[in-house]
Order: sequence, then C-alpha cells, then structure tokens
Amino acid sequence: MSELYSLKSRLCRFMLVLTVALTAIGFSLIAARGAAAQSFGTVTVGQPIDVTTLNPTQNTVKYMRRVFRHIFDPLISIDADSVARPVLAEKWETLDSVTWRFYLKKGVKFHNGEPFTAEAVQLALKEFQTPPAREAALFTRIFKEAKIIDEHTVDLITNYPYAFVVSLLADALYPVPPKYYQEVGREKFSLNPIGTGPYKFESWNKGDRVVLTSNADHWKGKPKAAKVVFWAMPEPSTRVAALLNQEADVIASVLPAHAESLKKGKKVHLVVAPESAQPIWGGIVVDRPQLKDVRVRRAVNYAVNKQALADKLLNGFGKVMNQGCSAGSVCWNPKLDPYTYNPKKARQLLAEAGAKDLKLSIHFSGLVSQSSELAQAIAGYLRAVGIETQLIQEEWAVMSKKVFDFENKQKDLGDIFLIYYAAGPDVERLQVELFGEGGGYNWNHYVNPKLTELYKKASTTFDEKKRKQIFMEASRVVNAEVPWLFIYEPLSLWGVSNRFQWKAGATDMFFTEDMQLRQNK
Amino acid sequence: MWHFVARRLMTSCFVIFGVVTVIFVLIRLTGDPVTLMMQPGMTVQDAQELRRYWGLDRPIHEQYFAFLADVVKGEFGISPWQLQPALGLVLGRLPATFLLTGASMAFSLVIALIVGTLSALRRNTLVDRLGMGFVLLGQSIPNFWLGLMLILLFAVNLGWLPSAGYGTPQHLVLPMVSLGLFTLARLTRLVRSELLEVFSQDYIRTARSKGLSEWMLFRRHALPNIVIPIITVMALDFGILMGGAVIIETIFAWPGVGRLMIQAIEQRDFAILQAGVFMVALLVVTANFLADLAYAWIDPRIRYG
Repeated sequence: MSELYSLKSRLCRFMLVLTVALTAIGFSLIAARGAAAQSFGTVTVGQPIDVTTLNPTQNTVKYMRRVFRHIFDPLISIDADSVARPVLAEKWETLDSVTWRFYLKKGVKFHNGEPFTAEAVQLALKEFQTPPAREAALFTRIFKEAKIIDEHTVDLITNYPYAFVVSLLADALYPVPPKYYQEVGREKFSLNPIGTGPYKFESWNKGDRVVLTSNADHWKGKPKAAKVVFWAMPEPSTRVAALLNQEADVIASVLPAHAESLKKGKKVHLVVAPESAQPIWGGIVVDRPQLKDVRVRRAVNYAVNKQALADKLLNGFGKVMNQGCSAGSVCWNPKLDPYTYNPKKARQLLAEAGAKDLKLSIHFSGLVSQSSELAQAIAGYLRAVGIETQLIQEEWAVMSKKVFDFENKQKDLGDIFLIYYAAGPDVERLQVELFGEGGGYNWNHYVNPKLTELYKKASTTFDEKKRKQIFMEASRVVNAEVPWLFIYEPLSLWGVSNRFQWKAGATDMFFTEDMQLRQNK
Repeated sequence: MWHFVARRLMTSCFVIFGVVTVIFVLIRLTGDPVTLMMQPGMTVQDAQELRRYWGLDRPIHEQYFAFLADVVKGEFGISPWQLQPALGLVLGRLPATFLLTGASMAFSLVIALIVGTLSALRRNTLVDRLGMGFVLLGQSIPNFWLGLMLILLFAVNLGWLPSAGYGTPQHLVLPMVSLGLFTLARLTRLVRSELLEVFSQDYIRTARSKGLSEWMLFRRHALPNIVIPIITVMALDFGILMGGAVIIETIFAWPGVGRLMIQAIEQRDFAILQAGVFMVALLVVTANFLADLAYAWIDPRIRYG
C-alpha cells in the first residue's frame, strides 16, 4: 500500500514539475513574443488567399495585384477617387483609332539595376498574350502588338478601335526586366521577381506570406515602410483576431458580421469602400420561353425586396442595384427605375403577361458570398407573388461548366443564376462583356440591337465625357429591359490599425504608399 | 525479418498504385478543369487550345499511362493553377503539416499517458472522474470551435500567443492543442482501460507479491504492455491527422498540405491533387510500416518471418 502510495506520489511530483516547466516555457514564449512586438516599420496586410505567382503577367486577380503593385510599378494607376494617374507612363495619347502612344518615365531602374525602357513594356504585353497567362485570350483579342518607337516611347496597337485601353491597363500591366526575365525564364521569375516598385522581393513562404523590403533607391524616394508583409489568412475571424491582436495592420475582406467588432476595437477602425468591387446579380436567361416577356422579368425585380436583403445580409454595408453598373462608376445612371419592392405590381405584371403557373429555377454556388441565404430569400419572395421556384446549389467547379457552356447555349444553367462580377476601373469593358451581343460574360443570351450599337459607338469614342453619356444611355436600356435580377453591391470592408489613416478606393486595391500615420491613435 | 520487409514493400507499392489510380479516375469524374480557366472573350477554340496545352484532349487511357510513366520518374506535372511543379508545391507544404501533426501527436501522447495513468491508479475517485470528464469534453468539442475560442482567449483577450501563422514555437501552441485534443481524449481513455486490464493480470499480482516496487511494476511490466495498442491507435490517427488538419490549417493560417489540397479541389487542379494524394498515401503506408516494426522492437515475442 505504501509502495502504491509511493508510485502515485511520484506521478504527482512529476505532474507538478511538468506544470512548472510548461509554465516557465509559456512565460518565456510570451516574453519573446512581447520583445518581437516592439519592432517598427513593418506593415502586415492580411488577405484571404495567398498569391499563386509573383509574375504579374500571368495573373491579374486582385489579391495578387495588391502584391504586384508593391514590387512593380504599373504604367497607370487608379487612385482612391477612381481617377487614372500616370506612374511609369508619364503621359499617353491616341495617334489614331488603334494606336496608343505611351511616353515612359526616364531614369527608372529595376531592382537589379537594369534600366526601364520600352522593351520592358513590350515584353510584358507579349507575356500577357502567351498561354498559360490568365488573360492571354483577352489581351490577344484586343492588342495586336507593342511597337518600340524609342527607348522611352512605345505604341500599343489594338486590333480594332478600343476606347477602354487605359482602364484595362491601369494597375494591371506591370513592365518586367527583359534581360533578367530571359535569363531566368518565366517559371523562375515567378519565384524571384524583379520590378521597379518601391519594395523588393525578399521571401515567399507559400501558403503563408510574402515579405517585401523597402527599395531605398526607388525613383519616387524612400518608401514609407521598412517591410511589407502579405499574410494569407483564409478564415475571416482569424483575420479580425490578428488585427485586434496587432499582428496585422490591415485586413481585407472583413465580413459584415465582424464590422461591429472593429468599430468597437480600441486600436483598430473600420474602413468602408465608397463603391462596390463585386456587385452581385442574378442573370436571367432571357431566351427561355417563360422569361422572354420583359414584363415577367420586371415582375421578378419588383417581387424581391433588395433593400431588406442588403440590410439583413450585408448589415447595411451595401447598395441596392438597379442597373448593370455599380453606383458611382463612370457608367452609372442615377435617374433610373429603382425597382423598389412592390409585390402588388409584380403580380399585376405577371397577370398582364399571362404568366400562370410560372416555375423558375435559381442556380447558385459558394462563389457568391452568402449565396444560400440569398437564394432562399429570393425564392421566398418569388413564391409570395405566385412564382414557383426550385433551388439548385452546386460547387462552382460544377456550376462553372454549365455557365461557360456556350456550345450548348447554357442548356443546364438555371433560369436565374447568382453570380458576381469584379468591378473596377474597366467597368465599361465589363458592361460590353456582360450585355453586348456575344459578350464573354453574356451567359443569359441577352441581345439588343440598340445596345449593340451603343457599345460599338462607345468602344470607338475616345472622349471620356461623350463615352460616359453613351454608357448612361446603355444603362437606361439595361434597366428597362431587365436581363438581370438586380440585387445588391456589397461594399468592401477593411480593418486598419489606428497607427494608420487610409482611404479605400472602389477598385479594392491596397498600396502601402497611400497610407498616412495617424496623428491621434 | 527481411522477408517481412520485402513483402510489405511489395504490398505497399500495390496500395499506392491503387490509390493513385483511384484518385486519377475520381478527379476526372468531377468535370473539365478548363471551364475554371475560362475568361471573358475566350472562345470554344481557346478552350480547346487550353485542353491541348494541358494534355487534357488526349484519350483517358493515354493520359493515364503518361501519368504512370511520370509518377515512376517522380514527376506529377505542372499545376495549371499555380504554374509550378505540382510535386514541389506539395513537398513545400509537408514540413508544416509534419510539424503540426507531430507536435499534436506528441502533445496528445504525453498528456494522455499522465492523465490516463492517474485515472487508472485512482479509479472511481474524483481524479478519475475529472479525467474521464476531460475525455468526454475532448471527444465532444469540435476542433474548429475550440480553435476559434482559443484564439479569442489567448490571443485577443490575454495577448499571450499569436492568433495565427507559422514560423515560431508560439505559433504552434494553439493549433497543436486544437488538433490534438480529440486524439488526446482517445488515447487517455485507451491508456486508462489498458492499464486497468494489465493491473488485474496474474503476473502483476505475482510480481507484487515478490516484492517489486510499484514504480518498477509500472515501468517494467504495465507500461510496455500498453504501448502496442497505443502505437496502433497513433498510427491510425496519423493518417487522420494528416488529412483532417485542413480545418485547423485554415483557421490558424497554417501553410500545410491540407489547405493546399482543398484549394486544389476548388480549382480542379489535377496535378496537385494527384501529387498530394500520392504523398499522403506514401506517408500513411510508411507510418503503418514503422508501427509494425515498432511492435517487433518493443515486444520480443513478435517476430516477422
């Protein structure tokens, strides 16, 4: 018995020693963390996904462009007020309907000392047009070639008159160093990029973070941060925790549900973008027999209470849509029917159209945020006006096959499909893709000769004010013809440390040099 | 012994061959990955060109034999999503997954041995009830919820530990606890029940009656007899932890293989999926093989011919 007691007491002593040891280790870890937290000059940006390449010619997804913007300088950039600003292109002009001449900044060097010349622009465009670059088809369709006029002058020649070149290239085309690129090849460049930007590449721990260090020799002067770290954190709650814990200074893609936490945070604040970067809409496949009548499509729009959806699902951080253009964009028309919730009018329109026993399918995937709740709410509203609905939920990998099935005219796609488009500076080009005849995003088969004519005119109108008028008229047509169930535009939410002052733009871009230190934290 | 090793190597090859064949077929049943690469303005011809570029236009059996030939050479092709060699991408993530899995298993084992032993020695007392209550909680709490709560408490409220990330020992603590808790609970219950059974055996009574101290009894007779089932459970849990860490990796932004695989599924990246499943299968088969070798090392009665 006493020996049994001895064994137990040994174990208990061991437990005590282990507890003390773990506590000591724990405190040392906390102390070490405390010591590390006292360093300055590093800006950490948390975003949902990691980059897949550091080669800016291969991918233009916004999460990557945020990183590219730091390592590389673009020819043109869009500022927070959505105005195109010269960067490496000091100025540009159109020589004729297909030739855009860019005058490049002199005296700029890449991080390895290679001089920045027109050859770098030519190479970037060529790489953009070469598979497996993500935008190869688009850039090949639009651009014929880049012609070097002299060391600091380059002509970008389009295949046909195309007025949207500036918005297409803004924050998208980043010149790359020709000599270094040819030495290392595309694949190695993706792992060890060299640009002209304010930050140099230091390291990339895949799936974790990209670390950039200050380029003291940048042509604009010494950058503001000593280091910029892009940290991939897929879980939204974790991003918020990291910001509240001061491990991150800026976090992107804050969910509406987390906005209150940031508003209440003592060392952080919420930044709301003025316009949406990802309007969410329901494409209506207009050549289906039950949807050909415009009164039915209008009824669908009147039947859904979009303001309630924006209030509930977006916690008020969103705007209701009534046209293809997002509010505040160059093509947005403020004088259009808002399609305010009116189920009585919806029933009236359905009766006028003779639409009895109408059945519609609503197709959605996880690609759209809160798609399940949105689809169910829309189904409920439609049922309330007598439209029977069927919900089809699929993974985007499966749904995308049906969306892009142009060969079979999207025969397996639902009557209404929930999707978004990435708004930004090239919203004009996107309108043509969304509503133009044969447009790459025109999955709902909407064809309107008047619209086709307007878009053709817009794409050859180089005067911005005149082009804006054309697009506003196009928006009026789209609003009246309702090829969509207009839903809402979520506003991008960012969390920012009180160390900094920063204004979010409509393009969802982030650039450290746009931040200021806050006077009162 | 060498016969055993040779036999296991052969069967392992068949297992891995079977696994890569199944994954090759299964992922191709999910559809055409080119649809996820489509951008506005791309025509049907562009899509066909992409299929040709990635070798997806060949007949399925040609793709399969080409794939097997590459596997033998240790190549899994280029990832269409990341435009890098797929095997390199998977291997690059393995250290993080090993670290998390290994740390979780070590954490589970150490705590389970202590708590399970105390529970067995103090059966039906408050200590035992607390231990089993802890086990019940450990098996009931979802690890993703636990992870978020630990972040809230230790990172946000107390500021003791980082909320997420990878690279320092501090970063390992919370994900290790979140991932390891379920295994810890299972092992604790196993240790307790095995010890109770061992302590009731005649040879223990005999050894005790011969005057052997309780500590020697525990160390020389009880502990070795419970190690075999512990190794068995841990070998099985290794595979589960390797694959199941994806949720913890997502919550804690841990750059492991699980997260990469989930993203590859979303992108229909056949190359990464094939490379990833191959590596995980190889590791699980190896872990089970090492477990079998460990049996022979620990228990001299076990001999392989």
